[in-house]
Amino acid sequence: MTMALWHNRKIVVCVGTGGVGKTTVAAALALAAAASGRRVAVMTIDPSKRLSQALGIDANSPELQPVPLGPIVQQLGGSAHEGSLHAIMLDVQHTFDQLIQARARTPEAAQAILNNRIYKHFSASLAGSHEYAAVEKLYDIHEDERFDLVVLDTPPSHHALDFLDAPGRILRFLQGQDTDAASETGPSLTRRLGRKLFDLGGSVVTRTVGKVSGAQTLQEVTAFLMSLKDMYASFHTRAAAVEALLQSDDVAFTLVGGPSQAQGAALEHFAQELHRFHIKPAAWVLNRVRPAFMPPHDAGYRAQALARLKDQHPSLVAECAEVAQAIEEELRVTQRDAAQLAQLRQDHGDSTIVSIPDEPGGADSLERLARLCRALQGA
Amino acid sequence: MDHAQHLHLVTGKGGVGKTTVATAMALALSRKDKRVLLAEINGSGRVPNLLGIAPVGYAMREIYDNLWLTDISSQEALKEYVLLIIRIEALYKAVFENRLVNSFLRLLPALGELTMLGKLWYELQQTKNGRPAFDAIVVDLPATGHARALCQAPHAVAQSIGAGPMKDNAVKLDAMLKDQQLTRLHVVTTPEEMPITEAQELLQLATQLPMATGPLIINQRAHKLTPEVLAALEPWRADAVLEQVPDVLAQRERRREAAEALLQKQLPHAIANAIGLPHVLGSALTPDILAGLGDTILAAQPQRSAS
Repeated sequence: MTMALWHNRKIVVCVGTGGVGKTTVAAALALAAAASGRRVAVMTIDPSKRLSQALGIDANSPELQPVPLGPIVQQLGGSAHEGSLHAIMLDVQHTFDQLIQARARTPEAAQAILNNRIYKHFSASLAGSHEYAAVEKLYDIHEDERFDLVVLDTPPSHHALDFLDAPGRILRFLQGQDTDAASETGPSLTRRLGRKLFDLGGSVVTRTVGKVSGAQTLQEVTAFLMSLKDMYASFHTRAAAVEALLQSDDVAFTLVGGPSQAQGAALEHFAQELHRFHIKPAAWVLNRVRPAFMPPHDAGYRAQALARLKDQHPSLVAECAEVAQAIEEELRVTQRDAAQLAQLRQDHGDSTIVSIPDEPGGADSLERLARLCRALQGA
Repeated sequence: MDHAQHLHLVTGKGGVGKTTVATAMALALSRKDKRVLLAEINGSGRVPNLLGIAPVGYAMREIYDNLWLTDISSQEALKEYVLLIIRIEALYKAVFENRLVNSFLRLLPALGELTMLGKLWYELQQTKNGRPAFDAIVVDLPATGHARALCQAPHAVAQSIGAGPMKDNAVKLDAMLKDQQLTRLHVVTTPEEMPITEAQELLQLATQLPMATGPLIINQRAHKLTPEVLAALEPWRADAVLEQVPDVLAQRERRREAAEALLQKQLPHAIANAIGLPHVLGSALTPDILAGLGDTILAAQPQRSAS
C-alpha cells in the first residue's frame, strides 16, 4: 500500500522526465505524508504559480516556509494531527552562495569568490549544477531536526543518473578526474594543480590553452581555481556523505510517468538506470491517466452510430467528423494508458503502482491536490 | 554566408513535441530537394527513437535522401573547434585530453554553448561541388532553460571577456543568431499552462535579443466540438457501448476551452498566426506523416527565400 511509500523512510525522491506533473505529485506526496502525522519538508524545482498558491507559499522566497495544513486536512477529512509541512523552492545560485559562505576560510575569501565572474557562470550553467544544488540542499534539510521526512522534486531530466551522480561528478570535475578512480583530497590535489595549471611561465599547455581561451580568461579561471582549493576537502566529505545517503534504505525513489509514448519510454529508461545503481523504485506514479470509457466492441458498431448521427442531423455533418476523430483519439490514448499500466503491474508488481486520473482545467487547485493525496494514500 | 540558407532552431518546454516538430520540418524540407542537416543538441537519441532508426553520434549520417542527422555534444564540438585552431592532433591529445585541462575548459563561461553554436556555424560554411553542403539546418534544441542559455551565451560572453579568440568567436556567433534572414526560432507549445508560460518567455526573449521567430506552433490542438453536436450525442447515454462518450467528449471540450482561454490570455498576439498541429500518437508518426506535418509548418512561415 502507498503508506509504505514513506513509511520507515526519511527521504522520498521523485524522478521523471519533463511534463509529467512531477512537481505536483511531489507536493501531494508531501501533503499526504504531513496529514498522516510526519514532519515533512518538500523541496520543489520551478513550480507553477498556482501550485505555490495552492500550498499558500511565496514562490519567490529561497527559504523554507511553513505550509498551513488546515485546508488540506479539512479536504482529506481529518482534524487534529501531529504532522507539519514546510516547503522550499530550490534556488541554485542561492544554494551555491550559501555553500561558499559556509566553507570559505574567511568572509573576505567568500566574497571574492562570489564576485568572481567565473563562479557566477560555474554555479548556474555548469552541467550538473542544478542537480548538485538539489543534493546539497537535501543534505541540509535532512540534518534539520524539525523534519523526519524530506520529499524531493528533482530537476526534469532524462537521466536519473544525473541526479544520483551529481555530487560525485562535480567533485571529480573539480579535482580534474574523468574516471571513477578514488578521489584525492586537499594537499596532493593542490600540488598537482599547482604544478600544471598555475604555472603561467609560458608552458606548452598554457600557451596552447591560451590560444583557445585568450590569455585574460585563462588568468581569470586560474584565479578562480586557486580561490577554491582550500575548500576541496570539505566539498569532498560532503559529497561522499550525500552519495552514501542516496544509496541507503532510508530513501524511497518514486518514478513519475505521463501518458505520452515518449514519457512512457522515459519512465522505463529511468527504471533501468536506477537498476544500475542497485536501486529498486519504491513506487511508480502514472499521472494524467485517462481510464477506459467504452467496453470492447467492434469498430463497425461505432461507425454505424456515427452514420445514424449524420442522418439525423444533416446540418452537423462536419462536426460529426470531428466527433469521430475525437473518439478515435480518446480511445487510442486510453488504450495506451491501459497497456502501460498493465505492463508495469506485470514487470514491477511488487512495487506500489498508482494511477492518477487526468483532470481537465489545470492541476493545482487545493481540491485537486486533495484528490491526488487520496489517490497516493489509498492505492 | 549564402542567404538562401536557413537555420531553424526549435524549442519549447520539455514534452511539447519539439523533436516531432524539428524532425517534421527537416523531412519536409529534404523532400523539397533541400539538403538538410537535422541536429540534436546533447540529445538522448530522441530523433532516432522517433524514427525507429539506429542511433547517430557526432559523425553525421544520411538517414533519408537529402537528410543528414547528427547529435552535437559539447565535448566533441569542442574537440573539433580546438583542432581547427591548433591543427595538430598530437598536441590536442597532449593538452586537451589532459584531465586537468579538461576541467579548466569546462569552467570557461559558456564554452559548451559556444562550441555547439560554433558547430552549426561551421556546417553552414561547408560547401560541396561549389554550393553549400546544407541548404537548411534544423536544430532540436533542449528545453526552455538550455535554449535560453544557448541564445544568450554569445552576447554575454562577448560583453564580459577581454579581446581574444573567444571574444571574436562569440561576436560572430551572436551575429549568426541575430541574422534575421538566416536564423529563425520556432517556439512549440501545447495547450497547457506550463508550456504556454514558457512559450511566452521564449517569445519575449526573442523580441529582446532580437531574434526572428516563426509562427507559434501549438501541438495537440484539438478541434472544437460545438454545443449542437454535443447535444446531438445525448441519445447515446442509453446505449450500452456508447453511454460514457457524451461525458468524455464534453470533458474533452472543457479541456480544450480552458486551454484556448489560457492561450488567448497569455499569448494574444502569437495566437493570431499560430500553427495548430493535431494530436498524433507516437506510434503513428511515420516519416510520411511527419513530412506532412512539416509541410503544414513550412506553408505557414512568412516568406523569405527558398528554404
